[in-house]
Amino acid sequence: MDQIAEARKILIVDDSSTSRMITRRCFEMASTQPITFLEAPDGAAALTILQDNDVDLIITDINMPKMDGMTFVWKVKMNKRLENTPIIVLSSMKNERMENGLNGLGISSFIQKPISPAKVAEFVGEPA
Amino acid sequence: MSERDMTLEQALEQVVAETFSEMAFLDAIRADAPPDSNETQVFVIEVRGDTTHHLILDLPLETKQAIVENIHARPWDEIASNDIDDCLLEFLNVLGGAFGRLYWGDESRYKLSFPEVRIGIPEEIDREAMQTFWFDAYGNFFAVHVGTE
Repeated sequence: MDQIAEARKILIVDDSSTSRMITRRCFEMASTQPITFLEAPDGAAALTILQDNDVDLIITDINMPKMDGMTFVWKVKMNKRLENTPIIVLSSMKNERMENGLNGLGISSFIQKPISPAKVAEFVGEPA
Repeated sequence: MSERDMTLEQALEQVVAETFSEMAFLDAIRADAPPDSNETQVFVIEVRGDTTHHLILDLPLETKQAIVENIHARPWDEIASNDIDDCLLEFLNVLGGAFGRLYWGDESRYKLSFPEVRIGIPEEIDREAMQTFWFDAYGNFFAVHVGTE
């Protein structure tokens, strides 16, 4: 969890620009440190960004066009350079089977939308 | 009452209230149908679990403005039209996800389609079987139509 609390470069993967904006804003409100955000609208675009960038934390949606979040998480965890990057899944869908599958892939946490500064504060350990 | 005992109407009422409050900082309560209403642009998502439901969000302009302005924290006329649509589609996406989890429970599997903007109630929805639930957000009435397959 310390790895997440200290994240200063975060990749947000979500096909909704609104969701990316809300996520960015929640992290900015919950953290006292400046954070750099990179953004991608789907898993394929995120993998392209990760070819040239190291990030401290990945936050990804599940239901996305082109490459969904489940496939994206699997590809990150299969990549030796990226496998230890913490991943938070942020999705409007949540059920035990999906969460267990993602935990099996090694994600750090699962948050059901809507995200809020209070939910983020649980990870960054700073007041919302 | 356990989650599994919840009726569609109860689940919808709860997730509408929670999503409006948590995402858009608005109170939305159940209401009687207003004397006249004309659906034009609507937002549609399919929630597929043990049964399949189409949730159709039918909002007047005033309610759209309130939701989008509160989420963006900016005036309506400063927000691009594609950002407005994206905002309302994401709003419905969150509402649909919350509905599936509440209606079928944590242990059940359900899927969401990508939400869509449509003009009027989609033709594939059986209007005879469609249920309409009216809500009031600060004097502005809006409807959630539920088509069940």
